[in-house]
Amino acid sequence: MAILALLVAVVWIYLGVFKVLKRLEEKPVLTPQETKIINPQLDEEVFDELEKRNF
Amino acid sequence: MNTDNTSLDQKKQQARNKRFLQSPQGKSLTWLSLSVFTVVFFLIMAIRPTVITITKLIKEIEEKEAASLLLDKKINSLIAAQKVYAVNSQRLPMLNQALPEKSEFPWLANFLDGAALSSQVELSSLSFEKINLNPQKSSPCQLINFSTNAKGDYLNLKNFVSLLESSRRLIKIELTGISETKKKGEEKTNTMLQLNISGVMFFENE
Repeated sequence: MAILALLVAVVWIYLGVFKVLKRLEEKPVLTPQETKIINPQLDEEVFDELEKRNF
Repeated sequence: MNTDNTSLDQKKQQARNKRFLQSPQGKSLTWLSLSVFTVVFFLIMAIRPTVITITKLIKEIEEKEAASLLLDKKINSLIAAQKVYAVNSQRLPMLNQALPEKSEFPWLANFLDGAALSSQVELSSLSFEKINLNPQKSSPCQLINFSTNAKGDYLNLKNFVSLLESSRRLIKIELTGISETKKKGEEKTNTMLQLNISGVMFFENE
């Protein structure tokens, strides 16, 4: 009986920790929009080509 | 009779239990059970919330450290982008010239007219198709279909097409056709060529 109670307590602690971890995973700290990193490289050939053309 | 036997059995069982509990083995088992129940009680009431809080904090620390690294990367890329922008800011208006925000089809009419003048061809017709003022948001740019007819000799028509192709504004020539026209009115009939061009001009979808 005592051992059963001990097992139940351990399982209950494990389930509590698992539930908290799952809840934290569902709510990320930053949104995908906030984590988007722009590529700072620019293809300057476009500008060179446009400069050659007439307007 | 049966009731008497049952109550007698019960009394014997109770006596046996009492003797067992009073024995050293029974006492130590009782204390062990009480200890285990106490441990279970403190596990549930004290240890469980502590473990949950510790797990939550560790997970939050990990996530925030990862978020901090991502934000550092973002800051670095923004600084690099700012430098690139500073270097190229004076050339940015060319992008608006290539792909303007509005249709600006009067510009196209002027441009074709100017190209015809400089390449010495005669523009006999110029037409634009309708522009959709409520475009679909899914497409990145809008189109203006246009068509024009130009008359002149081969070299001049070739220059005219070259001027269109080398325009800074994004123009796509979809169809060209050359046919022969004969001009009567002088002693000799002059053979002129007629160029039909159909194309598409782009502008940004706001």
